Amino acid sequence: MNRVVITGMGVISPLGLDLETTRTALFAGASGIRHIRQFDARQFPVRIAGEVNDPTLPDASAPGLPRMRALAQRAVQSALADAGLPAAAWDAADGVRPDRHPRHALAWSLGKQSLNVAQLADAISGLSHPPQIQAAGWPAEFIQEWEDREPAAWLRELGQATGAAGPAYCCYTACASGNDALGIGKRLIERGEADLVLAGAADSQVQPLSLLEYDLLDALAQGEPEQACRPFDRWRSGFVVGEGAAVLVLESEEHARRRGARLRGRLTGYGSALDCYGLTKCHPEGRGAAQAIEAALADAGRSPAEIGYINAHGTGTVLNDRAESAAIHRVWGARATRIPVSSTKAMTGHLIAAASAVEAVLTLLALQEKVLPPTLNYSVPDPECELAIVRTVQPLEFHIAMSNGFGFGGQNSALILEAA
Amino acid sequence: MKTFRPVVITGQGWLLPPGVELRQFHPQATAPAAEFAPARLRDFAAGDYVRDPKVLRAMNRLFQVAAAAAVLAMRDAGFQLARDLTGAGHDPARCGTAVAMSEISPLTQNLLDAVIACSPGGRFDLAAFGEIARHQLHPFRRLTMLPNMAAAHISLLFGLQGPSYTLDSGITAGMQAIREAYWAIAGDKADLMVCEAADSPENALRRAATQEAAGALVLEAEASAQARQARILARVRAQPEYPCTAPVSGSCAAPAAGSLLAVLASLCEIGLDPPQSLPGLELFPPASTAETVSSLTPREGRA
Repeated sequence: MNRVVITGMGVISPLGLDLETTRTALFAGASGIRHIRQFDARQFPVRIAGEVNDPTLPDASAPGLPRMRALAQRAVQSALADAGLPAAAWDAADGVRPDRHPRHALAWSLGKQSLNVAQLADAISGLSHPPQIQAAGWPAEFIQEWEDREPAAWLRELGQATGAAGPAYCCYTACASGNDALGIGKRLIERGEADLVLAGAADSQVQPLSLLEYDLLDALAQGEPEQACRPFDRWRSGFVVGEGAAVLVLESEEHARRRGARLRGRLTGYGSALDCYGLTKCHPEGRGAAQAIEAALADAGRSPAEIGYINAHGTGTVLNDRAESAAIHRVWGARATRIPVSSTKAMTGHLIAAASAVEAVLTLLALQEKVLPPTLNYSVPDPECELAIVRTVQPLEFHIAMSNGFGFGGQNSALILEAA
Repeated sequence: MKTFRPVVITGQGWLLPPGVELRQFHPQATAPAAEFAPARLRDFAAGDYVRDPKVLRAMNRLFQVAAAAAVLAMRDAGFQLARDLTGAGHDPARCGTAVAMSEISPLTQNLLDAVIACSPGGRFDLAAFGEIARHQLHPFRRLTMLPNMAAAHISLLFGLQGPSYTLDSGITAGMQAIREAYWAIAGDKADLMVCEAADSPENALRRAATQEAAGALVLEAEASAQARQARILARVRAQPEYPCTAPVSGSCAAPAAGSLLAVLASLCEIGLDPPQSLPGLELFPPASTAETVSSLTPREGRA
């Protein structure tokens, strides 16, 4: 089995537009949750979100390059630069043709594209007949735009822009997607199918229809932006939708050493498991989450006692945080109340498909700096979430961390990340 | 040097209409050319496979077709109910899913109705949409758009608690699902995996007509299959090299299911020499020759 090292990181999130600004905001305990700016939400049921604060990004209603892909491109470019690799050539018109690399692979997750309801209304008004739910009868450009945004189109674009010509995977496992994309990337290297994998995830669900759908699931927190999301707090009421992207450059250790790459960390463990309990509710005793954690530990060859920090999924919903606490107790037993745990979603919002990819980067930053990120708004402990929640930024000498990602449908995944 | 566990196929499930796609995959099973299939499966009744009407109501058509193929494959492997897995000595935590899905269309009639209701005089009113859509959209609408819900439904039907991958890489997704299932077992992360891929025109938004089709395989560790005296349809081995950014044995008409259906068709040929080889996968006859080739012909197509 090839050992997997991390040689580059790229991130764009509500906390910052690149790795450095994200690092600064993370260890300052800043919040990226604000009133929505991409559309006028004053009369809309959902008014707050974790948006990426860059006016040059296309907004959700812009034609052409969708916002999610733009976020993904930014994160890819940062990760390639961080890894000392050539920049991606996004625009074929610029004449740059990257070298073709059959041993470079892609392992991704993209958020599920939502319909822009204003554009849908425009498309309907142009029809000479009642709209149908099938493709027939819709203008060709309406369907074309949808197809152009499918994950396969992104894989094609990314492969062409970077020259990655090896296996190209895209997965979707709801809010566990980011971890699963990184986990698949890890496996591709371990199995010898690739020497280098651009693994990451992007999502942008700060759009009216998506926000409404999450609201219908009673999953969202309301209130003042910076105080709304309260992971593990007794008075938590839900999550805040966020957006962003993160990319890791994964390499076999041999390949990284051969090209003299700087090691950012190691991805040593990945585990996946299903709750097999319900479509929206997680298993109350955290059965699937505990199985994913144990699988990741076994994959890394580590014991629970060796883990120094847990970046929790910690959405801030009543059921998730309770189940995750139960899972940690299941695995760590009496030690569960001593291992430091934080949820960075109170700062970033819940980035859905991109959540655990971004959190993997935040966890790696914590490993590098030996500083634990805080759990904002944690003030009243919940007796059902009896954990050592990190309230404020604090230094800690640790070398191995775990990052969790759980999702609708009972998806559970965990990563073990280690210092280089 | 790490050794990998042998993996076998113990179950298969098909949902194929007669027509161009089936002929492409398996000429002997093709219906007469004059009977080109409709895009939808004819005579498909989801209740034949999933009995609980409450569960069925939570599924869109795509998930129903996917679940049906999985049910057929699991029945073929000897599992009727969730408790059969444990009865056969399987640990549910080591039984998982690998599912290939296409992008799911967000167009539903109640969404269209809500948008029209909020566009008086052709002018869209977002605030009104926020109010009206809250009442018109199904509370679980979001869940019907998530591809991994197929895996969730299948896991609930059979008590599968192990690793779960949902691939939406387009036309290569079916082959990737099989490969991930294979490696999960070969690498000792699981003992049984249900591989699944499905397409339905009702939940696709694409220019080309999508053929409704689904295929499922049950992959098991050979040792587990032998321990429960399961019928082994074929041995399977993932090729170490998988140069796959281009479409693999897929079909634009059934983009997610194409590769899986190609494997199922190859199963029909398994008695032939040399072994069947698809890009990324090799199939071998079972060690025992007790099963005849004819027993592996497709038998679940609902023409």
